[in-house]
Order: sequence, then structure tokens, then C-alpha cells
Amino acid sequence: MENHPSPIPKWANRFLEWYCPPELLEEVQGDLYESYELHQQEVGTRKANRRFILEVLRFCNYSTLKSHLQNRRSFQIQIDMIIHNLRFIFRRLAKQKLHTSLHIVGLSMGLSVCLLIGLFINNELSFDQYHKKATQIYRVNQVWEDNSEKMVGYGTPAPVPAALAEEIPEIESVGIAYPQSEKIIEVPGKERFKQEHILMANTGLLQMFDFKVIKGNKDLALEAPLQAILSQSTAEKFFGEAEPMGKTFLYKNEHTITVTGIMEDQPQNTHLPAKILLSYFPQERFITQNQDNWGMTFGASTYVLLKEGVQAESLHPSIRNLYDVHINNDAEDPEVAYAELQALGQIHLDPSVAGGSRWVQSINPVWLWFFGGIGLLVLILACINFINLSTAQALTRAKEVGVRKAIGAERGQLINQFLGEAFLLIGVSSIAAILMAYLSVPLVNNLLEKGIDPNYIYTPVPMLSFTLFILAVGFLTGIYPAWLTARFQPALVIKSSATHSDKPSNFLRKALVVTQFTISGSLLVALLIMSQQMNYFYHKNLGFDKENVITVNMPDNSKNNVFSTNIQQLPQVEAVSFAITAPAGRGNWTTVMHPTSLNDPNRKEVRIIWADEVYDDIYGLNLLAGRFTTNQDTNYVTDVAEAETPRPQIVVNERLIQEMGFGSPEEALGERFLIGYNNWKPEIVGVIADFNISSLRQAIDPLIITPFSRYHDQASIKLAAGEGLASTLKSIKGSWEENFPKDIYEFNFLDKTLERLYETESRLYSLFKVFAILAILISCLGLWGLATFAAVQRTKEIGIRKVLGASLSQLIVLLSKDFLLLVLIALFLAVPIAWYGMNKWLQNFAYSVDIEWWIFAIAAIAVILIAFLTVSFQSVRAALTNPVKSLRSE
Amino acid sequence: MNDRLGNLEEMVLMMVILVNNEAYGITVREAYVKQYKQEISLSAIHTVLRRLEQKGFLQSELGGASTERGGRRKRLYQITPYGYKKVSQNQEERSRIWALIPKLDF
Repeated sequence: MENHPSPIPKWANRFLEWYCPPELLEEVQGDLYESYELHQQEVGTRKANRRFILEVLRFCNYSTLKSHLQNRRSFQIQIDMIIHNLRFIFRRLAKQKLHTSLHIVGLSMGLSVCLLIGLFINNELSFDQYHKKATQIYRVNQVWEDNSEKMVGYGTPAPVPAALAEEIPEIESVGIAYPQSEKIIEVPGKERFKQEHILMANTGLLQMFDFKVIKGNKDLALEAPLQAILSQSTAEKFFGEAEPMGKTFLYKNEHTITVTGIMEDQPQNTHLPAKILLSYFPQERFITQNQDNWGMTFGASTYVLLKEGVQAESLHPSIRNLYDVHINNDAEDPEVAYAELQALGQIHLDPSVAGGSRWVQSINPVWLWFFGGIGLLVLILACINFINLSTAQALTRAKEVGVRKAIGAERGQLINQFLGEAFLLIGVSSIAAILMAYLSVPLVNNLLEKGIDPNYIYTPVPMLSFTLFILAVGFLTGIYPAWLTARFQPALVIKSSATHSDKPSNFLRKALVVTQFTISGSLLVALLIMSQQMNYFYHKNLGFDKENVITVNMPDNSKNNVFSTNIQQLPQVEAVSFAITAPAGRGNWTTVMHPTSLNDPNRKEVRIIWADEVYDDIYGLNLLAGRFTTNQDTNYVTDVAEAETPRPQIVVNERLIQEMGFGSPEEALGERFLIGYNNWKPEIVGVIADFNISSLRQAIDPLIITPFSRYHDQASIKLAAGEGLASTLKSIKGSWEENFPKDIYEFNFLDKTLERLYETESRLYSLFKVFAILAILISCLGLWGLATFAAVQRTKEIGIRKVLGASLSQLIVLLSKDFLLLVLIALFLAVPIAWYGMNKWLQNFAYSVDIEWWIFAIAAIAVILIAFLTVSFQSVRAALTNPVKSLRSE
Repeated sequence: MNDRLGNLEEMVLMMVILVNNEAYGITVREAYVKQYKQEISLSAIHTVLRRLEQKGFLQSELGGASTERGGRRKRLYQITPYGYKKVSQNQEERSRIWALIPKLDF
């Protein structure tokens, strides 16, 4: 019907034509057109269009549709058909208990893995997105560029925020955030404790982000020094039920802070999960020390809110200008500093900026892709099971199809019926999957230390997307088996009682089994190699002794000697050393070195560990030449060292000798070179063997060890193994607390500290382990289903073979060899895939295990064994059946 | 068949009589809006007209085709004698009862 008033909304018109019974269409449409034209004259086309749509929708009522329902006899029949089909499907599913449960178990596992991974990825992507102005907020990242080597960090020099606010008009406001490490807090009337997540912040930051202040004045709460906003839960922890506003607490044993505001607890998906917002105060050591220093960052970050429509990149030149004026004014120095703006939403997804943020480790998006991929793979495995089992069963349904067709079923109806069956199974599975996912969210949270809210599943957005996803999955997996089953020719099927061969779907089935085991085989290899690498992380010889050493921080290192004398009297304390960090700890210093000039572009990076004379004994460092530095050398190195006399003396590692080209360790003794701090020109008095000074992700850097008592802030205590350790530890604690009555004692075993370096890998590995095992399990379920089916189909054949004298082992081989062949092919495909993928992964680490052939052998044997057990379980049963039973019935 | 004449049905039925020869969806709605001073949707009019016809109060036929309204024909409704009798009975009934009610002076 082309003839209609011109600008009429076509889709509404088409909708009307679709639903309106033909005998009513003419008059209804005519009236609607007429009414439309009237409206058009009266109120204009736009309003008339809207009214037309409304009227079309209103006509879609019972009275209009009634004639559809009454006039078409087929409607009742259709309802009957649906009921009949449903009943039929239920009966069938109930009869085929094994297949039904295989379908449901496999699919619900696959779907719940997908759902969980979806939740995980969604949570990672949602970081910091909840702020209203999220798209306009950027973090200022400090960049140091040295010989085109770029170092990016999120700390900015103290003068930067003010300079940005003044000089760059496109910036609407500037926020400062200075995350603190755990600090000692004393609430009147309570014991002292350490409080984490204290954020020193200014009013700009408070207003830029969505901190929901529920008590107190958002404009004033952080304006004066020594004021704080507490989160609700923190306020409760500090003051219980009492009114927190106006109360005070003692910060770091010296500052009295007044509570001027209360805010809601922050959501878990933020990179700044502050529990306390503390106003800036001048007594803060770093702030006062660095007020005008453009060359030093101390941990405070700058955030800017850009005016609407401003592109972040367009501000980079003017920011660079600021730095050029203030800091890049030494033409000699090849190092330049500048800053880049990083979008708020990107912070959690970019670990390359010094790990992302102080409190919350960022995640590499590669991991998100990786897990997304795993989720999809697991689902694909489950869908393959579904397709394989259904197409295998299609043969047994040939008769049903034949009879249905003979009494007049159309192919489309049959496809609908089988699709309906698939959807029913997938629907049941997805309900089970939602339940399973809901219940396992806490496990995932535990494993990954995340705070994903399981109830999020039940909100509209994930529900809707999951439903759409299910529909797509159901259609994609259901359509082929449905098409295949509905294809049988009635005459052929009913005439010949033998189930005829079904070549294309047979081939597909084989291909899918190969795919499945290629995937699970690769995952198994990946799992084995990962576990080897994890093991390597924990057990590789790092070049120093890490056993039985505890580290304790010294709040005031002038008491080092007293403390050392005290605890060395304890029987199990073997030695005590003071240094800035343990080997491979965080916090050693980095600077540059060069034989002739520190401004030379060829200068190299070097690490420094400040340590006393027993450091090498405690950690069993291997001295290759010369001697270790003694405490007498201390006097030569102070932070105001005069360059020449007396001469500072240092111990270096082998790597440094290679980098500087000093030849053998013996030859290096007595050599001197320039080092970045205060232009020293120290002398090498000893050379030690290389040991890992950071995690195994990084290669060993050149290293200097020399005493500098000013920074010997950490005690390493070597303990003798054996009984009585607990009481020794207690005595050490007592002695420490005597020396530092106002601080809170904490100690760490070094080996545990080192293990924590690999927390990220370890967490992701455990998650991967779960998924990989699930994947293998799902594949086996499928194989088991197929084997069962094959065995049932060949019952008679087996009976006859048995009667003719086949042995049990021959029968097992006969029934298993097809499947095992497929698994073998899959393994050949899996090896290169796994090798390639794992090689890539291992390249992330400077120190990694070699991929050895026997890993593949173990994986292959394991897969074959698992597959064989799965298959033979059925074949043995079939082979053991008494042939009388299988041959009796015809 | 149900011979009850509902309130809305009666209101629409009287409009059909009022419009007389040209009674179809649009004109009935126009008359309804004009007389009763309240809005009503086209689909409601159609529903009621169909129900009235089913109950035998109205009869209908398709009008001739024209170039207007996209060439769609109108379904023209006419009151049946039975319908007319019903609606006039209703009116009489009402007058009779009204006469019985004491006249109150507010």
C-alpha cells in the first residue's frame, strides 16, 4: 500500500499493517490517515507524527487483534502444538537423562565462567568512571627523559599544581592528592594503631571527585591545616556510635587532627580508595622541604579538571613550557622533565606509569583480553559439546522426524521444535549459571582481592546483556543441529531400519572434537609452564640467602646500636645488619654513573644500597675480589661529601664492571668513576657476584653498596632455625618496643616479602588454573557423551564380534581408537600454539624457565590418559555386556 | 447475546445518530469531542463501534472509495431500529426516574 500521506512515520505504518487483521486494516488505516491529515493542518507535521505513532500503538489492543485470534482456526492449533512440543521435549529430556544432564552441566559451567569473567572485566573497566566529571579529569604524570629513555611517574614536584592553576587558563581547577603510607593514629581513650589509606588532599580535589560529604562543609572542611574528613566506616572505627564531628585524634604521635567532615565510604572501583582525607599542613616534612623544588617528586600527585571541550593533548606544549622555564635550563644536562595528562579512566588500565597508582595496582589490559579470551574459549568448548551431542543424537531421531513429516510437519516447524529444545536447555543452564556465578563471586573476590558486588548481576544492564548473549549463543549452537535433524527424508528413514551414515556432520563432529582438545591441550601446557614459572619465582637462587631473615623498620636509626646490642644477646639471633633495604626490596636508590662526565649522554643507570659492614655476611653475598666496605668507610660518605678527600669507598657488582668496562674483578679494584649524588668519585674496594636486586621480571642492574648510616632505616636479623623461635621473636619485639615506645612493631620474614613481589602473577595464575581445569573438564564431558553414544549405537556390532570371539582388549581398542586419533591430532596442533603463546608470556620476565620438550610430553600423556579413561569407561562397559542381551532384542 | 448498553456505548451510539449519514470513526470522534467536551482516542471509538454492531445496535457498510485518506474506504455506521428503540427506552426510563426524584433546592 504505497498510497499514504507523505511524511508519515513509515515504521509505525508498517507495524500497523503487520498486526492489524486484514479485514479491519482498510477502515482503521483510512481513519488514521484522515486523522493524521487533520492533525497535520492543526498542529504541524512533528506533532502529527507523534500522535500518529501513539494512535497506531493504541489500536494494537484486544478489540483489534481479537479477530485474528477468533478468525484463524490455526491459532488454537498453534497453541496446542506448542503445548504438545513442550510436553514432547520434556518427556524426551527426562528419558535421556544422561544427555540432558551433560548438556546442562557443560553449558552452565561454560556460561557461568563467561558471566564471572564478564563481571570481572566490567569491574576493571568501571574504575573511576562513577565521577560525574570523569571525562574532564586528568592526572598530571611527570616524565623524565634521559637519552630518549622515558621514565614516567605519577608524583609531581611541589610547585607544579600552583603553576598549572596560574599559567594555563584551560584548566578549571587543580587538585592535589598525596597518598600516605600506613600511619600511626591515636584516638583518645584507645590503643594506638596503624591506619591505611590516608590521603592528604586539598579542596580542589575534594570538589573535583565525587567524594560524597554528608556532614560538614565541602568548601571549608580541608581549607585549614590539621583537619580531616573521615569516611563513615572509619568514623565508626574511631569513635563508635558517638558524634564524630569536631572530635580529635593524634596523627603520627605529634599532630592533633580535628574531624571537620564525614563522607560516604567510597565505592571499591577507584584508584584512590581514601578512608581519611587530610588537609595539607606545613609541618609535613616533604612538603616543607620541597616547596620550590622543581627537580624532586615526593609522592604527591596533581589532578586537573579541564574546561569542557578542551583536548588534553592541546595543553601539552604549554605544560612543557612551564617545565622548560623552571627546570630544563641546564643545557649541559641531557635529562629533561615535562608532564603529560593521563585521562582518569586510563589510570587503572596502564601499569606502565609506575604500577598505576600508590594504593591500587593497575591491571594490564592484556590480562583483560586474556581472560575475555579464556571465557570465550570455555564457552566455545561447552557449545561444541552441545553441537556434537545433538548432531550425534540426530541420527536416533530420524524416525521421529520421518513420522512427523509423514503426517504433515513442515521443515520449518521441525526446526522450530528442535531450536525450542535447544533454547529450553540453554535457558535452564543459564539460570543455573547465574546462580553458580552469584555464589562464586566471593571466591573470585577472594582470589583477586577485588570487591565485585555479586548483586550487580541482578541489575537491569547485566541481566539484559546476559539475556541477549544467551539468545545469541542459543541460536548459534541450536541452529545447526536443528537444521540437520529436520533434514531427514521420511521415505528413506522409514523404509530402511538401519541408521544411515551421516558424513558431513560426522566430519564436523570430528573437527570440533579436535578443536576442543587443541584448546584444552594448549591450556594444559600453558598451565604447566605457568606453574613452573611460579615455582621458579619462589625458588630460584637469587644470589643471596633469604631464609631465616626477618626485617624490622627502625623509626629512628640513632638507636640502631642500642637495639643491635640488646637483641644480639638473644640466643637465636645470629647477626644483625642495618641498611636501607634488604636485597631485592623496594626502596633502593637509583642514580647515574659515568667514567668521565655525568652529563655525557652515554651515562648509565646505577642502583645504590646503603648498608653496614655485616650486610654481606647476613645475606651470604659472594665476594669475588677485594674486601667489603667497613663501618669506618662511613665517614667518607655524607650527603655533603666534599668530592675528593677523603675518598669514598664502595663495593660494586659484576654487572657494573661489565657496563663500565673495567675488565676482571681484580682489575676493577682501585678504579674510580663519577656517580650522580654530589658528584662523588668513589673508589672500588671490592667486587661481589651479581644477585637479584628486584623482582625476576627485571634484569640485574649495576649496583653499588656502601655505608651511609643516615639511611640505615631497616634492620635485618638473621635467626638460627630451630625451636624457641617464637620466644625469640617475642623478645625482639619487646626490645624494639622499649626503644620506640610510641611506635607500632611490625616484622616480616624476608622470603615472604619476596613472594609478595609476585602477587599479581600468583593471583592471576590461580584464576587461570580454575578456568583451565574447567575447560578440560568440559571437553572430557563432551568426549564422554560421544563415546557413550557410539557405544550404544554399536551395541549389536559388539555383540556379534564377541560371539565371533573378539577379546575384551580388541573391543576396547576398536571403540577407543577413533577418539584417541582425534585427540592425537589435536595435541599436534596444540603444541605449536601453546609454545608460541607461552614464549610470548615468558618474555615478560627477565628471568624465566626454559620451555622444555618434556613439558609437552607430560601434557600430551596427561591429555591422552584423561581422554582414554573417559572413552574406555564406556567402551569397557560396552565390551563387557553379555552379547545375549544385546542380540536378543530385534 | 448481551443486550446491555454501557455508558460509553450509549454516548457513542447517540453520536452516531447525531452525525446521521456520515458516521464513521473520525466524524463520531469529532462529534463526541464537541458534544461532551472531552478527549477520546480513535481506537476507543472503533472498539465501541464494533461492539455496538456486534450487539445489534448498529449496522455498517463500507463506503465508496475516494482519493482522500490514501484511497481507503470508510466503514459507515447506521443505527438499527433495535438500537434506536434501546436508546429511546433508556431516555424514557431516565425521565421517568427523574420525575420521581424530589426536586431539591440547593
